[in-house]
Amino acid sequence: MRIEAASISFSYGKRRILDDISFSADSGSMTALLGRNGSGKTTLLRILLGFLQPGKGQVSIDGTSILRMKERERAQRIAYIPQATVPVYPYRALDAVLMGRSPALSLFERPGADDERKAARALERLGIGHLGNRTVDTLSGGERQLVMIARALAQEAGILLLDEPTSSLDYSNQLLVMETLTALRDDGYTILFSTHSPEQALMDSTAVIILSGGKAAFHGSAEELMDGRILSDLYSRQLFITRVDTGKSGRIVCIPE
Amino acid sequence: MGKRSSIGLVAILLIAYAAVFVLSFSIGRFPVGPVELIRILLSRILPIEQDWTRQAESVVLSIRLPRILASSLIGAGLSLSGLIFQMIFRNPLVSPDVLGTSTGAGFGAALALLLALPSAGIAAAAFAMGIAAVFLVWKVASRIPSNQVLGLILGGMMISSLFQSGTSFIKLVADPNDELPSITYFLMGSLAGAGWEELKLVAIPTIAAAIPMLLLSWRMNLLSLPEEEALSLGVNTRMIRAVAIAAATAMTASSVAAAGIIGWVGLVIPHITRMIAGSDARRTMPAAAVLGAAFLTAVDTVSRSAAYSEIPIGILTSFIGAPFFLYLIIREGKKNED
Repeated sequence: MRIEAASISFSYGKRRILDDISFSADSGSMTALLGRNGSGKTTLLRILLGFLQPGKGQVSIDGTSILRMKERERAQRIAYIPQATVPVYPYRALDAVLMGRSPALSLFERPGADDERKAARALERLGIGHLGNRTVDTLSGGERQLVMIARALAQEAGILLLDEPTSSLDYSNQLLVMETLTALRDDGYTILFSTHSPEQALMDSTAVIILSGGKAAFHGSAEELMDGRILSDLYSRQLFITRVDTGKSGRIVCIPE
Repeated sequence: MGKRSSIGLVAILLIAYAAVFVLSFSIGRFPVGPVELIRILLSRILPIEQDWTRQAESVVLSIRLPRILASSLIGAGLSLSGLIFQMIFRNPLVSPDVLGTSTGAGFGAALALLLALPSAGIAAAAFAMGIAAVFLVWKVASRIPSNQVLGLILGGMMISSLFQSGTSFIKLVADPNDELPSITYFLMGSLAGAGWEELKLVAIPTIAAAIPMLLLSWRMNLLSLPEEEALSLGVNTRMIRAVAIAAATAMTASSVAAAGIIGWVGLVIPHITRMIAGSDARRTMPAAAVLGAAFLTAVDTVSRSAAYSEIPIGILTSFIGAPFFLYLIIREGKKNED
């Protein structure tokens, strides 16, 4: 599925948050959204999800404006994966994933055996099928984040939007979540995620968008950022970026001066 | 837990409720044995030869039956209403009492009594003021987005106190010989006067509100998620929340109109329900309704038979509920410490 943002502008009162942002992302791509605190990353995600209406411009999926879609239609195309927090009411992991079936069901309809199967399959696909009966509050942060991703898979939407999916996770869980996302990208999902880690953005994405002062200061491939110039400007620090050979594909590290 | 164990749980609770139901009939100043009781009840639909006194029949059919049905429906309605409020406000510490719904409805009912309105008028006034209270508390809490838990509880306290002052003012201007005692006794919360008329007053709104809410129980799970998650799952949160608030308020207000303010049921029962049934509203909603019915019927049996004169049931539920609320606050505080 293709998501396209065309000249998006957004202001809170007189303060301009986003100014003429345009980009598109296709199936099998993973786009990282980088930017400093308050650069408008979250606002952009909220506009892409249809929670906020842009002052100017429009968001479309496969050519149809999201504002012309009903909530359910939108939810069948685009899934939101928030930072996994401990929920107020601890549902079982399987029940939490089952909620992803909501857009496929009418108001009074309840999930049936087929929906339960889809939810169980989503958990298994992420390698956490054995956690289905555990309540979410007993899971680790990384497992909880995977449950959120499984819910998005059960939703059967082609586009996954993630708001800082690794921000509250320990290092091994960060790697686990990012590896899961790259596997889903390779399966043909359109993935868009915001992050504060330049290493993550460079390592796993097919495209990077840098937001600065409300504008897209950069939009291109990770390769183009490898000289460190643009990222050094963004973070006001001299940054050295290098690829370390780790046997497999290698890893990218970003070292400040 | 699959569908089967969910049905099993509700079945166990229904059996417990049936036991309370039968027991409650036989206990009282005029004891009726369980066999006699069942024969009297069945004689309405089956041809059973009468071997009981007219007095026994009148105690069972005209006094205890409507009262037990009323306590069941009020218990079910109040706990369902508390559970719904806890889900849509994503806050396990709220209830019809904490949110000011009960005091709002109490004020409405007192006002209607002062104006000598008929019973439908009492119900309507209770509903209108109950809704007004929830709306005001919600507005206050949304002004404090950083700490909604605190906002809802403090807002509820404030709005409750406002409505309570309103009620005090009504008492002040009420005729001390006639209206004042009836308003005072009414607000204390009691099922002593519950007959078929009062039963109708609570039954129609409670059943009308409970059925759609039970049908929506799976959707209610989604409403307990953070707002943006629910929206991203294609849920029309605004519409369902409005329907749920109206339904929960209707159940609380109709119970206030029929029996005055019976506090704490809407807080205590949903918690106990979640302890035994987990979080999924497909299980908790029917379970809370049955458990609430059994609880209030049991408490009402105590209220009418423990002492020489009847103890208003609202007093008893407060004795149980207030310490439970303290326990919950301490437990929540400890949880946040982790």
